[in-house]
Amino acid sequence: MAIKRQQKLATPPSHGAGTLTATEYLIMHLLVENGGKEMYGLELVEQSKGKLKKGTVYVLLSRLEEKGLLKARVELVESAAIARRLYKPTAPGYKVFTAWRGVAEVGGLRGVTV
Amino acid sequence: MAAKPKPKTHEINSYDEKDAAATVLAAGLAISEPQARDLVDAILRDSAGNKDVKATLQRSLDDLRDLLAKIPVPATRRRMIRAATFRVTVRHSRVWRFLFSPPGSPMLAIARLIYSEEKLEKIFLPLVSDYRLEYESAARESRLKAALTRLAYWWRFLEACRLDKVYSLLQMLKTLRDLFF
Repeated sequence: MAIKRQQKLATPPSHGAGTLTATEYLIMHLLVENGGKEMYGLELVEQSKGKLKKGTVYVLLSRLEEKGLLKARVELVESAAIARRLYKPTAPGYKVFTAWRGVAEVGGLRGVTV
Repeated sequence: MAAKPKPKTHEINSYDEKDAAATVLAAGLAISEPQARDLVDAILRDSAGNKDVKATLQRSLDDLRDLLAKIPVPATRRRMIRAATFRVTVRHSRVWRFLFSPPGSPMLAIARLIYSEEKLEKIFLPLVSDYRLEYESAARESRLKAALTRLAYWWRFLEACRLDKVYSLLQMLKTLRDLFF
């Protein structure tokens, strides 16, 4: 029974924009758990405790943004003289994350232990 | 009959300020040291030449004479002048400037060549922003930490490029699959 339930949950809730990889799920988890507040890349890396890499986090965030699961806002950092992007989940982002949470809870997402 | 010991090529009997100037000139003009030494002699000898060049060279020779007086061994003199020349040359070369100053600009320059403006904005500008902030705090602590931060961010830049290429490839395969199957 438990195996059947796990198999059912381990099936991706949807394809394409609704598909999440383990690291993408981790990013969504950190953002949702932050109470929907905006976070920037470095903050996500720090809070992931080494699970996310500084070099790849922006590629993943960019992909999630393209899927419409996150939205970004640009903030100017005066000391760096450059713009920094702040991210927060969108309404579809919350939906997809909730759907995938069940999969992650039964270990259907490889490498996700949040 | 005992074999005659070969003279060691790196051993030199004398290394004066003119030789030191020749070492510096050779590095700057990309010529051999003997050629540079001839050039030094020619400039000093030629009274009809450019007087400013001659005066500058004379001042440099005076400085070098004072410096070399502190180093008694000719081989050590040459080694130290060569090392110093190498450092100055590398530091002022285009490659060095491109790679190491200011933080993040070379990465953005490379990314601009390869990627679209959208990707630059979404991936590389935030990466460089983090880099500059981290570099600033590292530079306040020590030069070594700042240098390590530079290296680490170059690695992260390559990681970002690699992952993006992997995703682009997967996207292309998916498009092809949708088209044909």
